[in-house]
Amino acid sequence: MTVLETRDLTKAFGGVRAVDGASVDILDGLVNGLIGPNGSGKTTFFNLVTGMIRPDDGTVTVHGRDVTGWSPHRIAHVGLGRTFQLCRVFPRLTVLDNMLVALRRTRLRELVGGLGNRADTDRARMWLTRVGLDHLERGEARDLSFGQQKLLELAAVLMAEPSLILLDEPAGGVNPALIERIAGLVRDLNGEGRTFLVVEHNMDLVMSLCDHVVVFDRGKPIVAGTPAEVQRDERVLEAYLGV
Amino acid sequence: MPNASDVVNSPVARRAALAVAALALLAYPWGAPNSYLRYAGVLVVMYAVLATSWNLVGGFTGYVSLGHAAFFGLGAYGTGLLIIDLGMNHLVALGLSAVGVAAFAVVVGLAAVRARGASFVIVSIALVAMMALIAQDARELTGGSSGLRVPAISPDLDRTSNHVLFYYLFAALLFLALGTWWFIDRSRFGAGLKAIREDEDKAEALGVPTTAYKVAILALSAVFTGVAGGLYGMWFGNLDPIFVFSIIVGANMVLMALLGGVRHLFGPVLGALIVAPAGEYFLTRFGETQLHIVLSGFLLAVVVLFMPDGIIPAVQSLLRRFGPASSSIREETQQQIRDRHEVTT
Amino acid sequence: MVSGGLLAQGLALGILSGGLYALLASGLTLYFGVMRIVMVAHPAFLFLAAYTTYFLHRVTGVDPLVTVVVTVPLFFVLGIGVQRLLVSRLAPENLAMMSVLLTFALALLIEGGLGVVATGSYRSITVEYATSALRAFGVALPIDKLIGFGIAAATFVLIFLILRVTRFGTALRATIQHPTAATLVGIDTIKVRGIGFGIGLATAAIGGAVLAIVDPFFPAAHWDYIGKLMAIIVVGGLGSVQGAALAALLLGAIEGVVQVTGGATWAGLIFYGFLFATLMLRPQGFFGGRLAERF
Repeated sequence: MTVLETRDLTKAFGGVRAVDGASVDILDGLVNGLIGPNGSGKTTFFNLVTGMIRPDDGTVTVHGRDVTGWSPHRIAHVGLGRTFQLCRVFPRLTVLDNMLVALRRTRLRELVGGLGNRADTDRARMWLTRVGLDHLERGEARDLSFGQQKLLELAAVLMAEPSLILLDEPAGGVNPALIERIAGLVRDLNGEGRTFLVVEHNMDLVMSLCDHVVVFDRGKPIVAGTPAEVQRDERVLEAYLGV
Repeated sequence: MPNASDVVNSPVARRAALAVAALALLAYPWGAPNSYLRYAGVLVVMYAVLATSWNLVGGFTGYVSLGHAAFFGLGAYGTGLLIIDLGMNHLVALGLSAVGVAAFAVVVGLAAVRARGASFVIVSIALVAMMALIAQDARELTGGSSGLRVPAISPDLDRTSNHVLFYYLFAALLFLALGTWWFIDRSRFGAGLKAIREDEDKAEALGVPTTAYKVAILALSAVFTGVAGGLYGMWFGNLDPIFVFSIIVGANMVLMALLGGVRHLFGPVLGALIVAPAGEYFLTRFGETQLHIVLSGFLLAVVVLFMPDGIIPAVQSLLRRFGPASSSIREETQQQIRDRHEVTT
Repeated sequence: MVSGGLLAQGLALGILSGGLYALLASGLTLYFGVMRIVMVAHPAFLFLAAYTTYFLHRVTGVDPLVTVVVTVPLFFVLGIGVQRLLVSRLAPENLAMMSVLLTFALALLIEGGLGVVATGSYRSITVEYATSALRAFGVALPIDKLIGFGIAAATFVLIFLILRVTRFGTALRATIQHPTAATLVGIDTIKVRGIGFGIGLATAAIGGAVLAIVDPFFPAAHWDYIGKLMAIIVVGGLGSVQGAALAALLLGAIEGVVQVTGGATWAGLIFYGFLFATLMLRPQGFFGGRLAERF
């Protein structure tokens, strides 16, 4: 079952083709990795898939629905969540409010209802406990350490109950203990049925965490397979070393 | 032994203060010694309404509209024209024109909210400038630059009763506006709006329908502003397009909200209580010259440069200094965090 | 039915006005590029310059176009001052918004100040050599507007050359495109920003001299210019000086034509119409090219 499918996805900025005819299949239930040298178009690919930029050409299909050109919030409602390379939280909102912003499709009366809605608050607290931030729920997000913000970002994304989660460099700028923690979380969540697509430069993490790896170079995938297969492939070496 | 901060910040004290303020507000027209002060009172409450309605957009979403007077003027002219040309009852005209202003806000908003940050401000300026141009030119419709005379609610209303009546009408509107702000502040909708202010793209990625939210709050804010405009027309009796579609009026709304504090319920009211009487004073003393414009500009510059968060937060942090030292969450030691969770370091 | 001759006349006058708009719009683009702020007070400074020119002319009898020798350096220094003392104090957090409010406040201060000092009556300068019109291609081109266009165009070209050819211009463009990288290669971005701002205000000084001889002016008139300039910037695409110039000429021309066919009000509304249309259809503008951003 393909949960995410792109066909000939293309985006050019000026003369530079950041994503160049990328056709990718992401299978359900796995932890997928997306690796490649700097400038190979990984983050642009994420931005295209999540609707933050419009493709010049090509299609994006999520859960069988063509979401090409959809706005980000509609794509989020179809079950896609993502974190950002430079961790983004809402700085002046409390940790709890950061969680409560995430919305699935809601009815009007839920909107005017108070933030004290028990079901949602309980769910938020559940996720905060799971990532270990429940004791900080009333603090402002900007007072959190960088690692704590990364966990908060992930927890908030999970509030919206996504089935496919895109992680953009989750290990970036983070100490090894926290990397382990995040990896553990990903494994647990994957065990509960969530699919992941992870952009990462930390090769150890990719090799140990991912079931399936896609390698990008110059805007499109060049190799795909298990971590072991990809590690051995010559084309990957060429891409990274420019040999 | 309770300390100063405990007493001042206790819920009882706060409710008592609010009650006193509300009583003072309601009693003012009877206490005012002369007609001019009654007139000024109406003006101040009206500005409090305008600043609070502006803050529905500015405070929650962070979108600064310098052209909110467009809705004020539209409400004023709309109500006035419905009364004059269609002979409608005053209340019905007010309601209908409010609907019209909302519709207008939705249409304009759909285009305007595609602009972010500074460009949204520019678009709002363009909007009010456009309305002013149209109002001054469409003579047959609006009376052009000579203005529009709006018939009074009742011919037997003398000046004092007129002021008193509209004082309470504006006060009621203020109460409604404050209630709306308070309600939204606690709602899911409000959380979404604040998220837009903090990081709009991130909010959208989390599923917040940002365009719909922005247009919705703009329309809501426009309705309050437009109703205030309609009331103004009925009270003042004469509409001058240069005043009702004035950028200066719009700038004062922003100034008042900023001065008091945009993230607080009563911030705009506080700002209005300071700026409106001061403005009136300068207008009556130096009106023919443009000193009041200089004053607005100067105050705005000072607020932007030195207290962009406004007075209320500054006072709050001052009061907190007298209270027990609260620990920032960062002060939690590694040991305490470790005790709660198994984090291997 | 409007005659072809009248239309041509409107078009010609519109293009001549477009020249001034282009100069002013290029200044605005400079402010945005250098400091990422929208300098709402630019037209106000334009009018300040116009009044200064007017009074210098009145008091000394010197030709208004010659007074730029005094006003340009004055405004240049003023620009550096405004940037160093005021604009740079704004926290980067809410820069876009706060800068608009700050420059808006500046505009109010200038307008109010001018109103207090000079009163609200209309002013204008008439120079003897520019009272007639040149007849060409069947239209009458007023000499004063021709001179104005010429000066505006020449200044615009000069600015363009400074940006492209001189070392300072390269430093300025580097600071615009990537301030951090610019500091890393040794560019004093603080100084560059100040000078960039100064140049912007200097163009206002020149524009003011042009305005003084071309049209009657009064303190509150700067708001009209803000609307028009913003429309030009949006249509042209932000960050592009050429785009702004093209949009300025285009919109000026259309304004001129509409002025003779539909009247002054419709002519004024043209700009706002284009502004909203551009926002709906192509928010990043039409002539901006790659550098156009959404601000």
